[in-house]
Amino acid sequence: MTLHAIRSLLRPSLVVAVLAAGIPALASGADMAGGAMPGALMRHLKLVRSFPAADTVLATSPEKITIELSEAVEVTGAKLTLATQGGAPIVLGALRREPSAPKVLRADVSTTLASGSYAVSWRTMSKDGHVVKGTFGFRVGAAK
Amino acid sequence: MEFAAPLARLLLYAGATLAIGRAAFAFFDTDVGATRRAVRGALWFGASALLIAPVALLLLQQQALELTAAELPGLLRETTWGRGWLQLAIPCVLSAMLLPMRVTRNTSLLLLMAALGVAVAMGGLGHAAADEQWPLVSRLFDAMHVAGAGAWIGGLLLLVLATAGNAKPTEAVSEAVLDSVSDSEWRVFSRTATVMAPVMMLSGVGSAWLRVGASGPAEILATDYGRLLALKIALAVVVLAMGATQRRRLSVGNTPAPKAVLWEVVIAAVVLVVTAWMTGMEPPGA
Repeated sequence: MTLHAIRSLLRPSLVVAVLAAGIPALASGADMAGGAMPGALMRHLKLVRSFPAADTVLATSPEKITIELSEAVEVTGAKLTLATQGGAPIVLGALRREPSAPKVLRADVSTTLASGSYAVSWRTMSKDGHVVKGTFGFRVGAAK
Repeated sequence: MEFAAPLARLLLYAGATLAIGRAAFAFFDTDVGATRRAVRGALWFGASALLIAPVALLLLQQQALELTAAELPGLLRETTWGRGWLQLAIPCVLSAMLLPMRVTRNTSLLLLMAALGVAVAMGGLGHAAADEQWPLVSRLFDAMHVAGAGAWIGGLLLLVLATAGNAKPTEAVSEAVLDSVSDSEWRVFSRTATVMAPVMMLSGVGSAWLRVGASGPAEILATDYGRLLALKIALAVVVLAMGATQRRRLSVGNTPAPKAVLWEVVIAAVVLVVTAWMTGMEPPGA
């Protein structure tokens, strides 16, 4: 590429650069003045905490399973399942999201869990459509 | 199935690129190569892609979430992704209907609006939809990036196909054949590309900054997303340099160099493939 070709592109590129940077900047208004680093909040959905917490031992059977995620949960397509260590599924109540806590998914445990180890599997979708899933375990009764 | 989602996205990008490329020409009352068989074929391919890709993306999402057909309306009504899909599907269908039609004053304006609608809506299904910090900026950058790429690469592809439609099987694409596309068509394209190529590059840089700006170079390159992003930037710079050289040739009265134009389209197609894979991955630090 010749130097002349670069020079001929320079002026229109500068005009476009100002527009390309200026329009989004104006559109974002106060957001751009926030000063936070880009990408800091553009994170894929992740599990923040759960009840029961992963790898904990409960003295008694839990009445509910909850998971808190890093962004508001989409209930459609979300799944929360509970199974014994041997893989036998345990029926949970309907999955729901509390209006006051949009990042929390909850399902009631309708039966009393016997002593033993259990696995919780969860799946949901982030706003950009990525399907995110995970598994964690907990124990009811005395620690091994 | 690992390749199904990137392929569906690639189909969407290809359809959008052709629709925006044709809309950009039509906007200047230029119906480049409309009678050429290769161009007609590409326009029908683009129309089909714009119909098939959204359906494929929806079916893949249904499968990933293990939803029944009865649960699909809920997915479209109650989720951010579903609403984004609806916003995309409508301009895709409109563009698909208008793309193979003959350019008139009415159809060209409608095609331009529908094609820009596709560009704006595409951000609703990608990483921009998950940006809680600067959602509007993120969506704007995505829309400008798609519109810029479509007008530049889509327009160039139509010009190349218009010339290829004239070529005899043994002739390939010679300089004489490139001459068959009128000077005014090359000039219309050159003017459009001069504006839209920097729009594409700068909005791409802006998008990349929003996605990976919080990470260091080592952290970025440690991820598949970061490595593909680096490859995409490198290839895009090559395409930009080739485009600038062709622009210089046009400005001094020559026709573009045939081989260089073909390579520009081929490398741009590789950029589309890389982008289709990259957008399904997690940015660094996610």
